[in-house]
Amino acid sequence: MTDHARISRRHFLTSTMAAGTALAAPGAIWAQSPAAPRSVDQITVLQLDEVASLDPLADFTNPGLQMHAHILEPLIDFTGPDFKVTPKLAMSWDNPSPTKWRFKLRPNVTWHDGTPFTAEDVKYTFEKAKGPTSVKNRYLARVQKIDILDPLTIQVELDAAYAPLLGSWVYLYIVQKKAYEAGGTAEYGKKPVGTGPYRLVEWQKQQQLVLEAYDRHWNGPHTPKRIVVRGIREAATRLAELQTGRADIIFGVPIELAKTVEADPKLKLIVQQGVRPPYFVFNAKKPPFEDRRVRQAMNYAVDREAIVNGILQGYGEIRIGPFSPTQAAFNPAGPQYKLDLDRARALLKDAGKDGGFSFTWLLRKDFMVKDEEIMQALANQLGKVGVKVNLQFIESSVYTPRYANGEFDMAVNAWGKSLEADSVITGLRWLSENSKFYGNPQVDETIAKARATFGIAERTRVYQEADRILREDAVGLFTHAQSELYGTNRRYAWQPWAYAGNAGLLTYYVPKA
Amino acid sequence: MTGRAPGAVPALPPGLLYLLRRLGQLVPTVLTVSLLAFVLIRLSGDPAALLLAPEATESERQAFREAHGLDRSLPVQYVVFLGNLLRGDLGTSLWQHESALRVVLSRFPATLLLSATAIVIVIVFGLAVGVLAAAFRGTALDWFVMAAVGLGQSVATFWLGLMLILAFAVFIPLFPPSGYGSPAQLVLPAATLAAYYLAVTTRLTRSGMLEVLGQDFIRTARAKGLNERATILRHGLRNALIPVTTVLGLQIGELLAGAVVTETVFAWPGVGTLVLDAITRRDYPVVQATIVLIALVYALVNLAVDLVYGVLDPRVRV
Repeated sequence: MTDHARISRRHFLTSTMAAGTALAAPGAIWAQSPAAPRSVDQITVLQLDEVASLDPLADFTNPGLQMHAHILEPLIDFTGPDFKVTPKLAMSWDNPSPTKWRFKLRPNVTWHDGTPFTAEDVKYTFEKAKGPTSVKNRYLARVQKIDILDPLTIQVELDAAYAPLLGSWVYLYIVQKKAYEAGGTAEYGKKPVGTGPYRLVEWQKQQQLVLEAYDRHWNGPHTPKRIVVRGIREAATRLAELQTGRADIIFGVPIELAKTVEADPKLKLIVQQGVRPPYFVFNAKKPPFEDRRVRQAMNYAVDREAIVNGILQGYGEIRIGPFSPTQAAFNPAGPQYKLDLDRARALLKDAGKDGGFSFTWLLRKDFMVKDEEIMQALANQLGKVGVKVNLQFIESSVYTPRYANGEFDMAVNAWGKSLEADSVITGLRWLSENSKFYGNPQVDETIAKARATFGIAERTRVYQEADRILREDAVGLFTHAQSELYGTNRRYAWQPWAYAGNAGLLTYYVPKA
Repeated sequence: MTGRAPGAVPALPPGLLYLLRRLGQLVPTVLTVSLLAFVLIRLSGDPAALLLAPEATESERQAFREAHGLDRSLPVQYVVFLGNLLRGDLGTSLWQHESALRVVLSRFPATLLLSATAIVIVIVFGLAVGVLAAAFRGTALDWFVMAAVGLGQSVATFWLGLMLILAFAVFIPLFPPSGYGSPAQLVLPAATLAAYYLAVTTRLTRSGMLEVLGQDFIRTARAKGLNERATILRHGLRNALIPVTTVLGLQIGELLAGAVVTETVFAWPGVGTLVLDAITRRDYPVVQATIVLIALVYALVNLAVDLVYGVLDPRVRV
């Protein structure tokens, strides 16, 4: 149950802050920065939250991932908005058979303690990552055998052909066997030994974490020399740090404060498209959403423009399917959902629902920017075609099991990290084998086909077919993707690649070719 | 004095006996609090649902629960927890993979520094301003103090903190907006945390003083020619202090709770930010360890307050 007229306390406070900070803009001209001038040798980054652990097998949240991406390296990485797989610790790879993957490792790579990186480290990491307490074990579930062919060649054997393997392995950061064996997750989580472009020099919990460029990095050294990272939960405090020149990059600028950052001549607002938007999923295994026409009607009844341009003030993009039009798997020929109340009503009439119906919409607390406003708007919009919505917000630790067990009429998806099409579709539980709320043999077949298709262009076409089926089937109510807003100062020209932040792959240093 | 039977164990001095009895009473308090903490956090959700990727399968989640002993029944888990508690082991943080007790203790100094500074501000300024306002009752000074007190009692800590940052870090850059380490970084959070309690203490001191100053013994003191300052401080304040001490003692516990909000606004690395992180991450052992330790501190503060009564008021001396 929700109260239409309710304005949350938090919303009120943020608005007051917005007004206050906006007033502060002219003041900032006479109030010169109190911080001592520093060279761009060192930058300070304010993340949303404290880093939990530097052990990549124990922490899979963004504040941690962003640190892993500096200190450690995966075999392969995504760079750029097209999600191109690029070599990191692996130089090249091939498939001796459809179930075998052979990686040639990069020679002359050293760990931060000076010792050489070898295939032993990779094998050890994969074995550890497959263990029950590893947060990444699902990525290795298919791995049956790991063989070291020579000190710089490693081969993994899967239980079945799985062509999209690399896409989810970008999060598989390699740990040093020697240090991990000696200290376990507790020590490694505090003092990791990596091969990455930066090494950890100091970490005072909840205060600051200091990284320094690793001189002997295979592609280094990188600039700036030092990166100081802090976690600050309060958005207004982060902005105050940026305004006073004590921070160079801040995360999570609230929409209310975006104009303040834009108006300040010393600051710059970076708007990144979101790639992991909230998808509202239907329970297609029970009424009223077992009928595809009802699901399609919902997609024609919502006003996406009003959400993106009204509530989000333009900081978002419209979505009509699981993939963004900029992603390769998006099928331009699939259904184009847009506001069409007549069509929505006609579809409901066909389904015998012209008298309207009501349902409960299960939601995680704080699952997206402006969640209460947007959900109220959606509920009002659906009301115009006779659909009565009962919004139910619950804690995410209670939410996840209910979602996984399909105990809902409609819910919001719980995203995994992976952006690769197979993981998106599997992770959203749209395969019969792992879903309690949807199943379509056509989708299952298409995904099985993609897994056996090794050519990238060909596989992309298969995914586009899957995208078309999912959209026609209206597996979800697709509305929008919120943008990620960052603030920087003009002293350090930071320009991350689009999507990097939302993908958990942000780095703060100046990129190298 | 009670009589002593021959051959009985020599009786301890009554003061010490009282102290020991009071310390003994802490045990059930802490046990009850630990049980509540234990049950409540377990009712609030499954850590496997938060720590593992959302698309994790049920068997992956089950393996995680088994690895952390979360698959056993609640009573069994509580018995294990109590057994460990007796050995001073409050479990291992699910996120930081080190002793939960050590994690919490490492954050205590920052919270103690912040709370102690706030308490000093509250006592020094609260008493001084309260006495002044009472002494100059009805003057402009008194009106001003009462207006400030009204404001201090009604403003939300969260909002006050943000406004202080805007005013004294962004508009007039006197202090850093957040962080820990230098004395300058202590000023804004301590002022924010102190504000409400300062207002309460000032008002109580003022009203207590006004009440005491109207009584006969004050008239007697004045009549015997004692100067005004000695009358107010030695005879007035000392008597007005007793209710103020009671309320202050209760407030110190509340102040620790208020520290959660203040620490979050100022990114202060104390127990408040820790417990908030631990709750959102369902890090049971850290939440439990924090609650048990805070309960202990709260109980000790109350004991200290009771002992202070004895100093202030000879009638309650044991």
